[in-house]
Amino acid sequence: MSAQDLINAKALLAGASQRQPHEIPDDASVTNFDGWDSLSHMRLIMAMEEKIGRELTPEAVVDIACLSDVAKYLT
Amino acid sequence: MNWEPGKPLITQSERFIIRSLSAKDAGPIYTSWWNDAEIQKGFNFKPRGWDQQRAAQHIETFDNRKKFHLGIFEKQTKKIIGFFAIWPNYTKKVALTNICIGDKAWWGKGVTLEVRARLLPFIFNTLGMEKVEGEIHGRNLPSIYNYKAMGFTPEAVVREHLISPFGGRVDAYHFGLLKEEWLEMRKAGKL
Repeated sequence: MSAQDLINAKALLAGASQRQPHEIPDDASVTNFDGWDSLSHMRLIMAMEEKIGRELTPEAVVDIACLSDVAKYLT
Repeated sequence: MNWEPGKPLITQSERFIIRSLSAKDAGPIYTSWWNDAEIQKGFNFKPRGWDQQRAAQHIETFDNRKKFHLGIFEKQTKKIIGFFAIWPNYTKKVALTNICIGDKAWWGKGVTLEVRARLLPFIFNTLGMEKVEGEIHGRNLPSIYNYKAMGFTPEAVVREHLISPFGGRVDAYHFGLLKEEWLEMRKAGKL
């Protein structure tokens, strides 16, 4: 995962969780970042799909649980 | 947790009273959830067209032994905001669960995580289950989040497993949590 991948992932999670990118820790996950709730998760997946221009596979959807997962599926 | 087979369950979490529903709980709020298109889509159903009598009949099918239908009531207002269902299989020692947050003002406010965390000790310790399962019908992203956030493992995506009432077919997502995984998470202070 490149530094740019992480920046892109943080930007999407920040938008989805209505936080600023600098508030998103590098190791943010569904279990340790309180801004990542069920609704922000839904917004995040939709924003990812808009960014990559296609629907994520069901396997990808169930895999995403941390910031590095977000970066992985953006590339 | 005080409970005897066939008797109502009552417990509480930080914000909610969680108790077995009875027919008299089938008021207009509870009944409206069965007729709400957005909520029913989460169950892969169209609005049911139920009246309060039909909703009460549904509640009465739960026996607090093999099927539990628990209302989630906000402590301060005593208002019902959702329900949680448990179907324990005492032979396999596996329980299937689902949850509905009917009051949309509570969506995204961690109700599912709080209620499920409170009920897992009941399911594992009191009912003696060794695994808890959840099945999501269709691409319900908030539900997928709620299982992931509680450490459930996505065990299968069953492709086009169900007929959608809105046309076509939808995938089913299976999640599972083993008792030992739950105990490990408790030990680590995660639940």
